[in-house]
Amino acid sequence: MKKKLFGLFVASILSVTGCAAVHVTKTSMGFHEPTIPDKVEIRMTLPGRGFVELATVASSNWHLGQTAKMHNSMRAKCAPLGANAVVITASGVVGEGLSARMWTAGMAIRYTE
Amino acid sequence: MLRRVFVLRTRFQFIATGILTGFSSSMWSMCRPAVTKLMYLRLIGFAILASSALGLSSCADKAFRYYSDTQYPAKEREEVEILWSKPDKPFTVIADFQARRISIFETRRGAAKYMQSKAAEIGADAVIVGAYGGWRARSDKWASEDSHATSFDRYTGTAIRYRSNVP
Repeated sequence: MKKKLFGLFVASILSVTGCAAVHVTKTSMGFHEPTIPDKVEIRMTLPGRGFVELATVASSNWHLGQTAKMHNSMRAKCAPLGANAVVITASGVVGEGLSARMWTAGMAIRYTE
Repeated sequence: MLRRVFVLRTRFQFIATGILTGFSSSMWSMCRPAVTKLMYLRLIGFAILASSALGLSSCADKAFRYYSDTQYPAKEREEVEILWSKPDKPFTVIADFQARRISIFETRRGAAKYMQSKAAEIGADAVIVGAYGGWRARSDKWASEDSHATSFDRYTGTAIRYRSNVP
């Protein structure tokens, strides 16, 4: 019984630590049709053409070196909002050594022209 | 050793039952010989359930915005359509709702009903429901691949009135 409980505990810990989290907070008005995740751009600068801001987005709990996967997480979770791009406004690292985790935050935008 | 394992298992089961059933009387009659201990374990289960419910509900992030200059009469919840994409008919957005942790047993369907009831309060014809954010597996490689596509961090509802109904 104890072994089973311990196994369950370990499994639940692994299931949580194997995941990152993406938080999306809508800031725009109304509803936009979803876009294709693979086509969502990741930008560090504002685009030269017109756009509307859709939401703030933050992705956290990523291992160091998983920057590209972290970007993909934002693409995947912002496409249902109808985003064409995510503009990254801040990033950082929490913790040290093996427990160090990356986070990033930005805004999901949709082009108007 | 076996006896200890049995006792541990029984305690675990009763706490779990307490969580699930609160003070339901069926378990009570089944285990009358250990009434005092059982009652104690049930109380623990109920306390866990109550505190988690209170804890989660106090953290709920619900925020609404109303855009229309006109106030529409409230409707019955069932009169409001639940949509998951834009309707074909022309419409006007009258409000936006968003929430996370609507209830401790949050589901897409439950969230849709919640948005439907909020939309009914302001007299909307329909509410377009969206579910966003959530977990992301570190093993997912493709942007379009999402092992946790059914996990959501936030629900939104866009309350609309069809143009034919807007004065």
